[in-house]
Amino acid sequence: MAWLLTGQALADALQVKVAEPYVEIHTGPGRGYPVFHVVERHAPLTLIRERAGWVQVHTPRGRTGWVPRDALALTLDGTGQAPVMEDGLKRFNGGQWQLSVLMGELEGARSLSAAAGYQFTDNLLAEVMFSQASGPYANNRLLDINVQHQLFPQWRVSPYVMLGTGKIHIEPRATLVQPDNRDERLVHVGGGVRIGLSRGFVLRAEYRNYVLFTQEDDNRNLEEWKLGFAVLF
Amino acid sequence: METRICRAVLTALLLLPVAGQAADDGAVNVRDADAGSVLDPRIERRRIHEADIDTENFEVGAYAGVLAIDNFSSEPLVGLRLGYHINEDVFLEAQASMSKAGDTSFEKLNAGVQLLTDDQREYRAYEAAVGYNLLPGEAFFGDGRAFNTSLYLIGGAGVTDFAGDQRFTLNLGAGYRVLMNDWLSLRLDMRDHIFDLDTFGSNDTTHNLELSLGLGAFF
Repeated sequence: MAWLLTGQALADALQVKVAEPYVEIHTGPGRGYPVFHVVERHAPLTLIRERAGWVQVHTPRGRTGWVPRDALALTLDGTGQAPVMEDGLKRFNGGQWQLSVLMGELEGARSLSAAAGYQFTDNLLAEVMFSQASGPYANNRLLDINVQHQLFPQWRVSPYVMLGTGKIHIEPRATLVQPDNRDERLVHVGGGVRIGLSRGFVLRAEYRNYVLFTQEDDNRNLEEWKLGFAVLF
Repeated sequence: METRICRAVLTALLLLPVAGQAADDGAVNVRDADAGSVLDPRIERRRIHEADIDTENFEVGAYAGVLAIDNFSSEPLVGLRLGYHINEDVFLEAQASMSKAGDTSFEKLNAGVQLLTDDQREYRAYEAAVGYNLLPGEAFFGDGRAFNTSLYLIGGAGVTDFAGDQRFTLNLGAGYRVLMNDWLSLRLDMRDHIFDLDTFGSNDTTHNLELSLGLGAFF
């Protein structure tokens, strides 16, 4: 009776039909989990949730297990076509949020950055980044907004250029003689490369050149290298 | 129950051999089973997009444990974390934790001496890490329950606010995750937080060990 009740509860659930001779159901979301059940051709699968590239399904015989998302391509939906899968590369483009964490080096100081960005078009992304750089002489905190332009967004390895502005807070180490904390405005240019590693996951490396508008006569130049990850959703 | 249904279906098929053949001649891909059949191919006629499936790649959690701050004492620690599971092998995690250092041995032996102010003893760490599910598996409880588990390695970097300064911090460790049900995780974490501390004259690399137990929820 269980499968009937569940079937009713999931009446408006997502269902597909197996189109291959059979689909193997694993006990967990990973390639190593044992196959404990098999669903034959034409039998329906109810799709419950997707996690880390695996889909939890409910079978007509009342079992619940996991299939790799690739297995969905071997099924048919109610219209007789395979479900529309999200293309890995396509997820790197257009209308989505991006969270990044990067590590780097800012003029001899180790820097750590966190950023949130929004992709407006295939090419254009706006981002707010907070960085902290702890060096032997000072603690620096940077907050900047930047615009990134991807030159070839359809490529898996995609170069970009950026332009931004922001503020830096410089806090000299207390062990030095009587320095003052300073706030300076800055602009920066930079470039980098994004490498799509897997669905919604990008490796990101970039170079930035900052110009600080100091209160002294001369502007200061700072260089920074960064390497990190971005998650897209 | 299932055998009874099977028997019913088989009997129905035996009684209707002609109808079955007729169906085979028609639409090849559609099996015309009745509504009570185990194999009911009549699913809702709609286009399905992978994006319609409820994705649960994020894991949010809280944890509590013990932090042994090098040269200081072992103190309670609490923290929050947010993780993102990229695939079955790799996940990313950001975490914030807080604790408070006690007295050093030197301070205990020399009553009245205070090397740090009360504020400087506050420990705050903000870290990012990449985890790798090295040994995924199942754990069994009795003969009727199985839990999905994973032994993972994890490491990353962050900033620690301690002893009056912000310190670049590397972290390295391992943990064990047990999924209590489809969305609730129980985690045991061991982590080494490595940063340089110059409070005692020279710039020493310190290893600060954390042992914590946490709960998480996938969403």
